Amino acid sequence: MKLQPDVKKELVHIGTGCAAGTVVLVAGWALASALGAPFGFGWDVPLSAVLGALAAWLNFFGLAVTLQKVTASADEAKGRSLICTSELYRKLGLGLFLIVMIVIPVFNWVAAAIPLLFPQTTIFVMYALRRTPSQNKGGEA
Amino acid sequence: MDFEILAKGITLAGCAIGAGCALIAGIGPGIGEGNAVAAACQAIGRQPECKGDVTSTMLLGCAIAETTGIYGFVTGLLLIFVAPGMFMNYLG
Repeated sequence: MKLQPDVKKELVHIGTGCAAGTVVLVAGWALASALGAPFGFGWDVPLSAVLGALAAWLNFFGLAVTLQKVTASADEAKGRSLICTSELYRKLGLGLFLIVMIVIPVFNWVAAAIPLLFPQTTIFVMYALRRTPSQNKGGEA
Repeated sequence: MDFEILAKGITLAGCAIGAGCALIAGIGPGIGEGNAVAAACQAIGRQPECKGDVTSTMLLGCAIAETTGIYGFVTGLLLIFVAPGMFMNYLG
């Protein structure tokens, strides 16, 4: 299945946002740890943050592929059922990911859970910076 | 001794009830996304030339709508896996 250019563009935006957010998270964590915060900084923090950002991006990718499939068919009932199924599986995947991060002590679950909200943060930042090119073109003057 | 057992039981029950309540938040995004997708399908049916714009807007909207679900999901999992251990350590 080939991705639409608009969908590809949003995936790139969200991927960039997730990468930038991960860098900010790890840098902030290291800085706070150096300034004497009660939590330590080790190699588990960047590892968990990268995995969390990857999980968040994959969740967004799953949403994008599903929505593209729905808009290609333009069938309302089929679209509803497809998006509900997709949401169920994506939530299960995220849950499994978080459980692995919490249960296995090699990972830091806080550093893994925070990046799950990076796509939403990226969208807020995009709207704040008015970086939503596809919606506004051809709109009202 | 009995009081400690009772306190631990109440704590665990509170965590389980809280996790259940937090996971209710997962229902909303599913319904909302379903409605958004249905409306988008109607819009595409009316104006097929706007398919790209509708898909892009819906993608960002659905991602935002999922935020509350993810919050609730993370909170529920923490109440199941992390909070009981912390409370048990506190209670001794």
